Amino acid sequence: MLRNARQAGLEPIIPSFQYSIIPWPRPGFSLCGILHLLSHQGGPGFSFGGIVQLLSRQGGPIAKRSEASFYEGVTMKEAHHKGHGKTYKYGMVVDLDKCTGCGACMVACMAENNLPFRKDNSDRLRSSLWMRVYKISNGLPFPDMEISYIPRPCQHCEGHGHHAATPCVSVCPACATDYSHETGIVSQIYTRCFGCRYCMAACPYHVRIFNWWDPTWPKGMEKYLNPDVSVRMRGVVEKCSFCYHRLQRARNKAYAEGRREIHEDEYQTACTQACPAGAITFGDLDNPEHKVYELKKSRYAFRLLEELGTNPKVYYVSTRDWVRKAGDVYTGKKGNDVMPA
Amino acid sequence: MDSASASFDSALIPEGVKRCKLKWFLLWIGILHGPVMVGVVATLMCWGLALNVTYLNNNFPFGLWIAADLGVIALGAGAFFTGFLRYILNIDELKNIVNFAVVIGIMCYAAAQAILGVDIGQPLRGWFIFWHANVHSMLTEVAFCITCYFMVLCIEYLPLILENRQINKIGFFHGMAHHLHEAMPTIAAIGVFLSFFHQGSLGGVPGVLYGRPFAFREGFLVWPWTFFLFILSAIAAGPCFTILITWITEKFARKRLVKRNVIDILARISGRLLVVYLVLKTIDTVYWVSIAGKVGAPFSSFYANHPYGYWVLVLELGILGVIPAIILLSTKARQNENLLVIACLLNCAGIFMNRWIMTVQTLVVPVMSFDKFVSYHPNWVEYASTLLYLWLGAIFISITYRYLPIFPQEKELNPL
Ligand code: SF4
Ligand code: SF4
Repeated sequence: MLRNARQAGLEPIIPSFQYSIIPWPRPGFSLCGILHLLSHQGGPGFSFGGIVQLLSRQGGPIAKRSEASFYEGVTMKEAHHKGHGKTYKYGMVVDLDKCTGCGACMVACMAENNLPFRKDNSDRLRSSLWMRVYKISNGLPFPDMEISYIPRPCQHCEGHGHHAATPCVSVCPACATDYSHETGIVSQIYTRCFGCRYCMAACPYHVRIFNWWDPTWPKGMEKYLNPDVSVRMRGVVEKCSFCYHRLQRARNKAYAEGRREIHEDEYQTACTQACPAGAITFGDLDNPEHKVYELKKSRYAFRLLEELGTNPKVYYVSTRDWVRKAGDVYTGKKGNDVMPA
Repeated sequence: MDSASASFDSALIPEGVKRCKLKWFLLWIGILHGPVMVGVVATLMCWGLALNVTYLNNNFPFGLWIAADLGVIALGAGAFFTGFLRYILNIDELKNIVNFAVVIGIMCYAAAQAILGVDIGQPLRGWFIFWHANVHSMLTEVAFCITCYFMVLCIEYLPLILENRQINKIGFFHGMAHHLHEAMPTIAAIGVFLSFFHQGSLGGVPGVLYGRPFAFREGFLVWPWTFFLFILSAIAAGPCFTILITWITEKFARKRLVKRNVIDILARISGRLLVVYLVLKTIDTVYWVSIAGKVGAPFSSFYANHPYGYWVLVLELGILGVIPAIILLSTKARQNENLLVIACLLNCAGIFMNRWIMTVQTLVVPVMSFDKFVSYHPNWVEYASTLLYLWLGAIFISITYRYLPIFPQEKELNPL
């Protein structure tokens, strides 16, 4: 496969690097790497790594300073787990009546988040896309036929009721994916994921994708990779992060300027900014000053598969009945007239 | 004349039994190495070229490997369950088959762990499941219990090795084997405890997926109903797998190794458990149909995706469930060796089918209304790397049978 990729002018970033027990992209075995692994795998839940970190008090002055910086009285880890201090609920509202299906959001997402692609990327079931635009139709013959497009990033499910945990987070055996109660964002720790793919089975939205190949880009394109986003190695699962690195960047800026709050327009996802129709709005769903706060209350708003109890943070708005039916139920309870286009 | 007496390895062969000549034995092992090599190549392809060499995809993150994993662990349940019957319920006759059940158990559990080693995308990080354990994940529980239980199986296997004719001559090992035998009820009890948990947790793996209405189940405390169904189906099918492998070994050895009454006890118990399982599984299915329908997943939607139609239900519960149950319950049918073997085969196939359904069919059923159904079938790489453990298991059993006294009744049934 690698040879084919080379022939096609696609070069893996580090050609010899295939497996990793240490955080990528440091190839090879090293004691330092293992210590690094033990001490820096910040993540949720119970972990022997965490205990070692605690015992060895690793983390370094920089980590300590930035942890203490943004939140008053609580560390970043505490805020993450318990939602101490101020919490946010970042989410998205997508106006399906505005979406033209142009795919700019998909392209922007790929560029922003260093998604690899192969010469023939047409295999929908194996290609890497964090944002996917689905095309649906009402199934009626011309002239009554209608089309709608549904952009689908990770829904950053919160879960509720009996299902108080995010579907994918609760099943991951290695705590490699996590729900932040501080931001409402579901994260993915690539260097910890070992590729069991249980989370993929748990996600009903087909959001999670697996790296079936070593990542490759057309020659020269690796120079355009986003330095804020780590490139993923083969054999791990990845997914939309709501451009989390942009939140980090915005926070750093706010900190440098002596602020504790970031403005709505300081943290926007790549897809939101790229959409030429302005169909995507992003912000803190709990903040009345953010546009999404009101938009999500629209009587035409719905979420995908609400009845399952996943409690997603991506809302869709459509004035068309059949579109809402297609989205908020599954297997056609109310939407028997909905046909996949 | 004992044909083995002239063999190079005759000093290692248990006393009072007959084995084929060494050259035939080596030829047989050599033949098995053919498919083993194919499996090794497939495995190396997965590790070397990444998992794009399989037919798995983002819609089917689980495929043959995970189904096979769940299947072999269920079939390996014969080991802990026979131990439970022998050492805890004190069914004395089963001492004549419990050793072999352990051998089969080791084969199954080793296979399950090895298959997982190929299935995960970053095999070198497999240990993260222990190091960064998420105590809420069913898979974590499975990993811990399977690893611990595999160690228990190895400890159960150890006295058999120590009973090898030459090793047993050494006083220390003789004594050790004796002490291990004495400790066996305790070891078996630990095995039973661990097994109940991981068999159940394997059921929990699909059962907790609340985003997948086909597999999701409510349940008791933190355990979905599939937790209990998996335990029950494993102990119903495990003994049948033990009978089946014993029968195959007897065919190759061309002699009886275990008395029929011993086999009959296992078959009878298996039959009764299978009936209980079928009743509960039917109740579970009917109940779930009504629940799922209410929240928008009509029963028909689960079976609307060709080739996963209603025939799946008929095959799993009817042909691979009710038929073997009837045979195993009837004393007369059980006495008929051919019928008994067919019943065991169907029962084992049924468990495999169930595990396939709970993993692959779960992923087949589209959840979003605009999602399209896509089909999955494994490719040769997946088949070869899975079947590899069947061939390795055959080699393992052949060597064990040749050099270790695993069948206490062999001498009596086949006087020299
Ligand atoms: S959409 Fe899927 S990947 Fe995203 S949080 Fe929900 S279950 Fe997890
Ligand atoms: S594939 Fe990675 S993120 Fe997903 S469940 Fe397995 S270890 Fe966790």
